[in-house]
Amino acid sequence: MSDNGQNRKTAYGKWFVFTSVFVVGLLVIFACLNIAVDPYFHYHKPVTKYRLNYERYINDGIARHFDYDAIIIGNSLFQNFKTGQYDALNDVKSVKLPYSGAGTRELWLALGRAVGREPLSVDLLSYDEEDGADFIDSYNACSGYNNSVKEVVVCTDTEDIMRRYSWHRYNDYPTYLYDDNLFNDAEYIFNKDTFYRGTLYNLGMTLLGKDNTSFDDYSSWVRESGPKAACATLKKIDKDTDGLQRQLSDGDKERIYYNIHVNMVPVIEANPDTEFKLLIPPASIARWAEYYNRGELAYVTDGMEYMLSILTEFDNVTIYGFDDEFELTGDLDRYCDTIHYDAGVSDMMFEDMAAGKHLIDKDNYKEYVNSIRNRYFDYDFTVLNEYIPE
Amino acid sequence: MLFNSYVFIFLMLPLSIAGYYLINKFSHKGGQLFLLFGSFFFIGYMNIIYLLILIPSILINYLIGHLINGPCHPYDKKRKLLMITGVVFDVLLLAIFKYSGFFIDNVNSIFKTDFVTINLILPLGISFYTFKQISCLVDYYRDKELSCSILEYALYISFYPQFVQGPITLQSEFIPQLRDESRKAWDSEYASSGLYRFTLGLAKKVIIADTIARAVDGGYGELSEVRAFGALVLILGYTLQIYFDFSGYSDMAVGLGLMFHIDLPENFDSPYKARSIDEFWDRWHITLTRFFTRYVYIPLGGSRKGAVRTYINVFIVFLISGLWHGAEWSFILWGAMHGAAMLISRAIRDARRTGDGHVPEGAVEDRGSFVTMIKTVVVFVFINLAWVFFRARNTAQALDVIRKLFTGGWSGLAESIYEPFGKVVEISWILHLDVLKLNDRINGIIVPIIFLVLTAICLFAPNSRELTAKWHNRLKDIESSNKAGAAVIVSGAAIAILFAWCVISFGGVTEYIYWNF
Repeated sequence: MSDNGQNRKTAYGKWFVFTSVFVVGLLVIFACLNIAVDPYFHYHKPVTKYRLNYERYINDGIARHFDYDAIIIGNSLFQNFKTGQYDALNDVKSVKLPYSGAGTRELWLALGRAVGREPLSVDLLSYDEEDGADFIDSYNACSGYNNSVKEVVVCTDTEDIMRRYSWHRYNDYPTYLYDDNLFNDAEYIFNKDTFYRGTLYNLGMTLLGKDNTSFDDYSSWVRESGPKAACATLKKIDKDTDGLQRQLSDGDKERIYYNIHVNMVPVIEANPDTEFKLLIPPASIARWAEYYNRGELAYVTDGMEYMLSILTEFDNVTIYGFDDEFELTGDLDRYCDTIHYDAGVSDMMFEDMAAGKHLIDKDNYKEYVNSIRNRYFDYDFTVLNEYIPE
Repeated sequence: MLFNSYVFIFLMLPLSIAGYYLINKFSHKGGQLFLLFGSFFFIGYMNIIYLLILIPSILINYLIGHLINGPCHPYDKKRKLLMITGVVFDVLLLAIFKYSGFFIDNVNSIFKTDFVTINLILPLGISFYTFKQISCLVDYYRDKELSCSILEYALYISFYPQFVQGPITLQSEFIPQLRDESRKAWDSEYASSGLYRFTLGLAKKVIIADTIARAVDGGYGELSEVRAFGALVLILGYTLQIYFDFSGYSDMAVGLGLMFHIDLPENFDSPYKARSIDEFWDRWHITLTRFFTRYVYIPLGGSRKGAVRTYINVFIVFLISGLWHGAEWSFILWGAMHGAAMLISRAIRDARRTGDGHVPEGAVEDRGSFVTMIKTVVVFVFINLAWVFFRARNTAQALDVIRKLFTGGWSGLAESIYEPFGKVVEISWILHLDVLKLNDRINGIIVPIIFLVLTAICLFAPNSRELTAKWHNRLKDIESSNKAGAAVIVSGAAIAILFAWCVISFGGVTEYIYWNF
């Protein structure tokens, strides 16, 4: 090769080496910053000031790295709960793990991982019973036992439990934050969104001396409430509708049974020293009007009764039901849609729980459901028509 | 496996290159075998079934090819029969996996039957490797003395840089390079060029196309919100998206080929600068145009059987091209639109020919002239409209988008277009800075402004190949000077930053537009 040719090769060689080293250097610095600040607490406790947001990215890190002995976990109905209030009333140190839009499966998978402190196979999230796999064996996420969690408050929405056990809203899930697999952490540490919206933001908060987001504020919201907002999605109510048309079938019961036994029971049984406080939030009268329109009043209440008949059998499960708080459920000024209530309702529920009110056990669960039947089966839902849009 | 994925960048790419050259030091065949298994890993990574369809297809095609042009030459008629058998097999395989659902749906629709639609898996890259295998069989038949070993053939078909979306290489341009002993060793010039070109392609895909896709997908997802201005932005957006996406992929493929010391053919040459629809197809998906010319148009008779047959042949080619791109009537309509445009273009050209068959003086304008600019704009507008049929879910949706252009009312941009666009980190910075103090109006303005800038880039800026050539020239200049350090540092740092920027942008990746072909 000529000298010129050799020079050129050398120049290209230098270029390749320089560029490669530069790329590696940039990426290593980037990754190190993300790991050091760790805005989603994937590797360690917070070392900077932090912002709590992006629930599905951050909750697992909170569960694994924060100090606590109680967990408040639920969907959007739980977003306004205040850990500060709960801690003061119950003498615990709690964390809030909100999963907006979550169903039973997602909540209990996350909970199983939190109390069990075990790696979670998030493939389970997309697991479907129709693939014929053994559903009980597949649930190994909660096999661990950790007695540091004394109690858990879990949102227990009747309609969620009446769904198929595999129901979940989101398929596009940040699984790399849940599976304890170091290799796919690349999606976290080489992620500009994480860097900009997490690492840089937290560093900025630290430099500016801002306070951390409190669990009271984490995912909390204020929305316009009132009868029109609560009834916005309702169809006009016809007094001739047969609200009791649909009955709970054996297939429906089987679905409820599977949902509870696949998603909830393994976690409950694997953690006998943890008290699971299942909270049934108060659905507004507008929600019951929806059931009436669909002819599902008997179906839902029978499903609720069947669900309670199973769940009241566990020694470490305490159930609090607020669907019989009829003064509240009929006051649509407290609701921004058919199910979401204002923050004051959340506060009231914690106070009542601490006072031992609204307890449901195997002796009174039928009475609880009957009171709901008595209230709604003959209720004239047409009074809501004035709030329902044309 | 996607090129714009962590597993490819951090694992597949470095290991396949390092392993290939390392094994090549000891055995060239060993290196090829390693690359073949690496390619199989790349293909089967997402679904092993892809391999279960690909490997038998390779073996059957190789066997037929071997019989056509093997050591024992059968008589000509048998060779033709073998070639036809092979082509029919390949077309049938493609038809079963890609078009059976479309076919059954149409039969049910026309004959009011109730056949169950079969949802078969669409094997990765099947449209591309089908064409490569057909080209091989025909070339064998044409007696081009293109015999090769099964290892070479399998690697030619499955070479991972060009497996998913091309370029559609010919055996005659790939296998000689594979055999070339001088290409088995690491070459820093090739590797650097490859890295440079790959990075440009990666940026086109990840930073530009995927960002545009957010606006386009958002708009098409909530089409009821879109008015005339939104429809215009959507149409232009998809024209840009598909170019930056597909040409970005092709740049990456060419770049990867260079890293393996193999020159793959160019697939794009600034297509939106075209002054006629003929020229567009000489610049867009060049290897597909070449395939259709050699293996469909010419066997149909090409231009040898008179003007009418020529026009019919051209139209047939574009109908097939439309169907090849997707099993949906809107794709066929897209092909028909391009076919019709080609016929008009040819008719005008033919009408201007003099008696001796030449186009008269002055008919070919210099680039930059006013007439040329008008032609470029007309072609660009046509291509934009045609892409609507390519992007829309079906013909009805495509017509809806075009109808909105004229009846939608000129209110602002739909939120479904600008809102997801504004969530991209870099765009959110621009929105935050709001240099022009546009306040809330900036949300609706940012999308068209960026689209216009990108359109200008497509129409006036040098393309990736030209940029790579310029970079080459800069590095070559250092042969006679002592400025090597500066040249290396400046261009190396720029490419390194661009590469790293792409890697940290992988989060929320979208599939390639051409993925399911």
